[in-house]
Amino acid sequence: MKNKTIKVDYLARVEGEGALYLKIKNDEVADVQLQIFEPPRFFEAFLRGRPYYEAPDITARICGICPVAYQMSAVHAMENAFGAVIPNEIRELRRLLYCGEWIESHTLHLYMLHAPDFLGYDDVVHMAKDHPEVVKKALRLKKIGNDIMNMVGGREIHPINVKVGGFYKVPTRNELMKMYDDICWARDAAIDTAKFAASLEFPEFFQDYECVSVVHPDEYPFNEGRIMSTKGIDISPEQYDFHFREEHVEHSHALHSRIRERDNYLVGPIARYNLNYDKLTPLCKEIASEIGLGKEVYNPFKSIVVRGIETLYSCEEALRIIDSYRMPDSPSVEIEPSEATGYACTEAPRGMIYHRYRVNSEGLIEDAKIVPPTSQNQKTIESDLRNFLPTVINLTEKEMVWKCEQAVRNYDPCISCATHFLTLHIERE
Amino acid sequence: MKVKTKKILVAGIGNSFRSDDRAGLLVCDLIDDALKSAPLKAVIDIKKLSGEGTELMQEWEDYELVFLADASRNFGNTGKLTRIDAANTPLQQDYFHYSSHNFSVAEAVELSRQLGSLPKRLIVYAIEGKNFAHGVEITDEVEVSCLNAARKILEEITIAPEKHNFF
Repeated sequence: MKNKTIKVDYLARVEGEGALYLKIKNDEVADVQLQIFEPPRFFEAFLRGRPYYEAPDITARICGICPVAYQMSAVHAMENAFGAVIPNEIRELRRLLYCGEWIESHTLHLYMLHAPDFLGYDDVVHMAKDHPEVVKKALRLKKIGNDIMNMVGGREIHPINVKVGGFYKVPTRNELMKMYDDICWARDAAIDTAKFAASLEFPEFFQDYECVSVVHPDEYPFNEGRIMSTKGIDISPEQYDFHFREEHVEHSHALHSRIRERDNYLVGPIARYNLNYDKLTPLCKEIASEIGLGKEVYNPFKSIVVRGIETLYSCEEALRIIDSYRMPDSPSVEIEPSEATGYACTEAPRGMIYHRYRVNSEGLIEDAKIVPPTSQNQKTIESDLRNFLPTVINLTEKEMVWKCEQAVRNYDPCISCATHFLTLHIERE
Repeated sequence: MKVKTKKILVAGIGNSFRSDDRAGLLVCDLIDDALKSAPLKAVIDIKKLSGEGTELMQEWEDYELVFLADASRNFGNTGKLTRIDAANTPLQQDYFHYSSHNFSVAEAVELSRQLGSLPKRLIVYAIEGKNFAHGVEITDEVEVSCLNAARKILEEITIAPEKHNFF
């Protein structure tokens, strides 16, 4: 069959609602569209007219899986606008909160959503029949991430303890130490996780991505740093709009992002890893080397392995922070709002987020711009599929659909954040 | 590490800003109000949850009797209240409205069943919603159904302690 349209009306194990349309003509890919039809959610519009201090709680509602990255981006952007200086103790607690989010989000995706693709199961429920101990370990690991979020953020989903300037309440050293043994267990479980992920079978598929990530001189990036790319971008978050643009495409309610002078780019675990390998801990590098990951990854299917390494990093970083924790004198610093524009880029588990806010002299938000990772990756997901489809074009329709869905899930896409549901249509003519 | 001393969990699932999706949360509020300082409250935890599957599995661990209240998708009978004995009946994966990365109520129940960690008794009250758009208004039929769900759960709770020797 040389020409065909295949429609898969629901892509499982992604967050949100969308569809994928693939058209094949004379055994060649004629069109690929990631169609996001979840209605726009208008968060940027909700924010207008609201006081600056509401931004963390409003933006946390963008995503139930990665609320920390959204609210912390808002916090950092506001602090950038008002010139706030944050004590290191508070900064460390913020990184600990990120550790919790990365552990829970990466573990959810790696084991519950993506591993079944590689192992040939419909979902984790079926996988659990043959691998109950793997799934139990995953659940415990994820819970430890959630516990960290609870402790620092006040609750697991949409944390409520974060404010511009710091926190409403900070934990005592004893409270943090109660999690210590569990996080030590999590570190060992994360090593097993990276090895488990590396043991999966990967297609030989490499892409020449322009990787974009936050880069910090001293640490693997969570919440601060410059924006860098593997093809030469090196800018501060204030310069983001000069180098990146969002554009509307007919088939998506989420704006597509591209680099102004070039085209699509990649954000997320692989991009971070490629740009920040040297900032990983010695143990992360040792395990990466042992599992044959290398210093650079250009096979998108190996994002699952990188998530394993980043989970390990998050556990180690959490232990480091708790080991050296000194309770801040005050849970937050005073904020003096002024008429200003603030910018921030932080790293959600699935990639870089950009926030920009213009605030008036009364501290009210006049304008907001939020660019989530999935909208930045949309064009790259389409590009991957355009290049990957020819390698699976001779498979049965069922197998082809499976492989294409797997390729989309490499990105752990959060369509809800980008605007939610993916339907796959493949058309052959 | 949380230590659970109570035997019964009432969990309401939903999003308070997604119209009828907040049905499960409303059921929690109604039961909380009805019990106030009643002695029964000493053995009951009432929790409002988002419906994220692993969180659910974590929350119902160690409870002997769990009631879940959640909005179901619309199948043309808005407000219809369905009681499901989930400990003995598989749940359809596309039944409930909320889904985070497609791992929510049904997946949590079936994965727990697979791993042998399902509560001994798990009763799901599903309320058929109609409007899941952004907003806080709840459809009349759904609101009435929430009252009925709360009343039925209270009836079951009232007989549960004796039945299960919780005191």
